Amino acid sequence: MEADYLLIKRMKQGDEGAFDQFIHKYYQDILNYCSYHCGNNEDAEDLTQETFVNFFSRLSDYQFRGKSKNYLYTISSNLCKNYYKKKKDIPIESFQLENIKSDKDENLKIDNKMFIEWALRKLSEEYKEVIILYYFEELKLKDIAKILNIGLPLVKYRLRQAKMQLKELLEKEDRNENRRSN
Amino acid sequence: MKIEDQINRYREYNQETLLPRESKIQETINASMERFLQEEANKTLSYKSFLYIQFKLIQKRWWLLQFLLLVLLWVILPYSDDIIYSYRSMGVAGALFIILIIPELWKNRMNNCMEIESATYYSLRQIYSARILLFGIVDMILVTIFCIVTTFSLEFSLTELLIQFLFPMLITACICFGILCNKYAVNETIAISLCIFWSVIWWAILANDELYSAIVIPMWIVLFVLATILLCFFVYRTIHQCNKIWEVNFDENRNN
Repeated sequence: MEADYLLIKRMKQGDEGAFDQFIHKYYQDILNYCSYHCGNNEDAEDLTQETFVNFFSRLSDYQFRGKSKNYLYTISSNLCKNYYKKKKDIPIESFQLENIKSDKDENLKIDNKMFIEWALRKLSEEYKEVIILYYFEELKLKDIAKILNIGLPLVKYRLRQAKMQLKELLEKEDRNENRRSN
Repeated sequence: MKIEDQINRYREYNQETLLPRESKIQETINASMERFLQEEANKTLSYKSFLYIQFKLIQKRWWLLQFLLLVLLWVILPYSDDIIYSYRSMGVAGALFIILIIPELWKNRMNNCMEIESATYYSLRQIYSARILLFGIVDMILVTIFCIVTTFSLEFSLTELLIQFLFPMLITACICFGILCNKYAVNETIAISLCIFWSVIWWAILANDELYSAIVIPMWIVLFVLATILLCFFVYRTIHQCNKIWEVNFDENRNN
């Protein structure tokens, strides 16, 4: 895979192949990130497209420093925030039921997904963001600090707090679930 | 179950169910390219960037040669036995200083830039304005440094520098700009020849004691001011009329 620096140089010259390569390289990551935020695949696809379009609208001014992926995450993060503002409550029913299969293992995975998504929605925006970037996107703490434009100690603090709250929420929901099933 | 395990299971499940669709990727590529090209088409350069691009296009060797010429003049001036030789050297150097920028000023004209002008962002007038401004700034800096250094190190008075160095330089610049944008397609060789011819005339004036001593200091200052005004007029004409004169004469195709 060609280095981002070279790809960006080629894209600035209007090379179609470079656009293709660059978007293919990061599409999956950005799509996952958006889907963790909005919980709806179609909206996630739209947000992903918007992220890339935004990136390319400022490409000629873009100075390659560090990772382009981080810049994409920053754009995506802002778009997801706007998405939240427009769509405050995403009902749990929006989960795609057509994907549900009948086997037990699959049901467990779906339950897990529903719990996590419910718990994530209960978290504040800042905490949710660090959980997504650290656990789901598997980014390094220093990269998260760059994307969120905050210091490394604050990232560590938010991650610790988010993890604690998430754990409490999941345990609570687990207890409720057990009570309901008994 | 540990929280990390739960998150990992969720992540894996999400990745299994959320596979990117090639049609959507293609849609994204097309939209991105379209947006990029649209932004590029709407983009105009700032004056600063435009000047910077023009600065990069100008061959720096001419400025280097101008600098070396001034250094050479500063080195040889103390070795002149007679003051008349110093004056002559200054006159020749003044003319040569301007002759050195002729190739750059004529570059657009020699390369038939009018033929491609319609395909460029900026008009010839803007290009010339930028180039003249850049030459003006750099030459002004070089000449100012030279005058300061010469005044203090070689004890030449400012009036002497004005008459013997700056005046012939101004006249040479007037000849260059006057020829650059006149109605007839005069090439750079003729411009250089005329500048050299002026240099010879200047030598003759210096050699003729009667004529030289007849011109008193206030007269020199008046001549200097007149030459400055003439140069401003030629520069103005070059910038404002270059499109009109060149198009009619070279392409016979006037823009409406």
